Amino acid sequence: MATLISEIEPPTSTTTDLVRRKKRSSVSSAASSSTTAGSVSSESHARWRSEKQQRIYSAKLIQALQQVRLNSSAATSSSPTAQKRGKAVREAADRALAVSARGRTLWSRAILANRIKLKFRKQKRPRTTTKIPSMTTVVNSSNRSRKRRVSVLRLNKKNIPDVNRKVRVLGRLVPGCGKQSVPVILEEATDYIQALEMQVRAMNSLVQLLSSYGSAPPPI
Amino acid sequence: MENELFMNAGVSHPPVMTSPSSSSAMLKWVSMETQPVDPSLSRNLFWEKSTEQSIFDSALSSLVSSPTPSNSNFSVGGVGGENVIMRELIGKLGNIGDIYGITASNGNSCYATPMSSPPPGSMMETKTTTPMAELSGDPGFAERAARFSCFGSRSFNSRTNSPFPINNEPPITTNEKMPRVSSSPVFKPLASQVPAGESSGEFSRKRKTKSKQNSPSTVSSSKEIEEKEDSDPKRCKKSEENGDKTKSIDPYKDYIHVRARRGQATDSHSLAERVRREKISERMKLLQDLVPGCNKVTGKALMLDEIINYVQSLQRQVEFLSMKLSSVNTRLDFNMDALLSKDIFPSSNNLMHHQQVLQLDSSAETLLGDHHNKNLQLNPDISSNNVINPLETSETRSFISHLPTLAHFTDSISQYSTFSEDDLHSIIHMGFAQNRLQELNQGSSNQVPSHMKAEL
Repeated sequence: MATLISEIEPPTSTTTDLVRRKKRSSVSSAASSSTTAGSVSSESHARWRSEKQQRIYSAKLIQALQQVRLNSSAATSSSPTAQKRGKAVREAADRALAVSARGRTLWSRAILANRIKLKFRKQKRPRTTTKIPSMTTVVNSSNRSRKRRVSVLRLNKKNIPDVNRKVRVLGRLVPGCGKQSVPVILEEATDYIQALEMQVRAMNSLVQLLSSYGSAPPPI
Repeated sequence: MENELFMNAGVSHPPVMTSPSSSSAMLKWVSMETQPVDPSLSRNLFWEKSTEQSIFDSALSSLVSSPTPSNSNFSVGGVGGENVIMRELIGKLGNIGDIYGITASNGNSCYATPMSSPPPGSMMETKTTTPMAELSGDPGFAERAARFSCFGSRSFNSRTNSPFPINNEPPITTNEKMPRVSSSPVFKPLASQVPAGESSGEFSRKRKTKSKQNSPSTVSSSKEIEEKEDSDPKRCKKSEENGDKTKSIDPYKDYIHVRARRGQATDSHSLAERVRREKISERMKLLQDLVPGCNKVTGKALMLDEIINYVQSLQRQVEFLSMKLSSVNTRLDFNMDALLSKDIFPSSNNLMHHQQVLQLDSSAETLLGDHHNKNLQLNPDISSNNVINPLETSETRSFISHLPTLAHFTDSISQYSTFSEDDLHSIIHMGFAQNRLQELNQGSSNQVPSHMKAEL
């Protein structure tokens, strides 16, 4: 079990990690003063590619997966559909990714906030009190029991220039950036892409290790 | 590269040099270093007309090759601003422009005037004292220098309402290298431009005292000045280098101050628009580096298409992998629990303690990172412990047999193969908390999910 965790790290070599750590320390002195996207993203680039980050993420991922498995095994008599299980795994993976982002980015906060909002609304649902008008909104939204969708405007019909339109589309893809301004979306997208790449790498290696391990169970 | 310059300069400078990517100041010092430290020569560097200016400009232009936006993002914002200020001043003022640029941009910069805060380096002293000695002959210079030292000293509040009656000044010494300072009226915008330029560095201090009213007026006035400068005769041969804009984003400030480029519109709207476009293009460049295959594509729209496709493909990959993981998970349900119990069970004996001690000595990262050393260290331990726990050894052996089959990880896996599983289990959990490890050791698997829930 633990070897799985360790073997997830190999994809990023130690030398690159050291190089990036040095780069990060040299960048940080400039980055501490400046707040441009350049310095931020170079720092974040080093962050998401470092071994340390990958190790942190993979450990969190494994814990989340164990929890999911335990939840699913405990909760249901009839096994949930593969889709639901897959979805649960995916959400757990996304949450683990957001947690390892340490709340610095919009999308990570949005992922975590969505989860909390859903939980909150699910708890609110049995207590449907309509006395307070403010509560009605909560009740109504909880009845929907789904995330508030970003308004999918008919961007094709509007006379928005091409670039802006595509940036809006990109903003819808990145969680939490549906209604942000263009430079914010681009910045979030850079961090999100790096995080996704790390997630894909980690999950790939995890799947491979698990499947290889499962294919030949140890003699007991 | 800048760090080397910093080292080579060999002079300890005040806060300017905190930012490793410092500007022309550093290169200037280096160029000074390479030449014999001769007061006359230093003077020549500043005030000789033809050659030294070109040296200075070439030094600056070599710096200009480094990305200009980053120039402005210094902790001491003035340095970055001064890079462009210097160039502009060279072009516009010639000799005395250099002096003014140097004297005006004091305090934070190397070129501290003798009238302002004392320059830190000995070189600076030789440089600056000699200029003063030479220029004292200029009748109006002391006056002007005094006024410019006011600029440099941060007591200076408004640029447009400059208290000094510059118009009354005698004309600047006739110097062919000062095409724009032939008349005193021109000098006024120039004088106010110097502070306009260098105030980009001083904003952090002035901003707090200035009201917001002043700042838009000063910003707009600086842009008007730019207009005047741009409309000036094109004798200025340094105008090309002045084409770069300064953009200092100071953390204390609300405004981003931009210098209009030569030949471009200077109203506030277009400047703001340009700032916005620069920001966006900067971020697009970063994205381009990230997304594979974006290098061949030119144009923002196509690049964005690629980026959108890439993000979608990544998300689809994650979904697919999560499906796969869930299927693998269900198959391995019993296996995982058995593994966990195995991890937990032998940990209660001395084996785990030995390994804990061993791993506490070396940090987890170095342990995992430095494969070879740790392999040698742990090998004897594991071999000795293998006798104690046959379950573990069988597990590791089976695992070892599988590891080489994985194509990706053969290098590192062979190094990890000597580790037993709960070694690494303890390593990983060490990373989180010591108490968690103990809980895992003691408790049953039922305790584990509760703690995980608490964390999540």
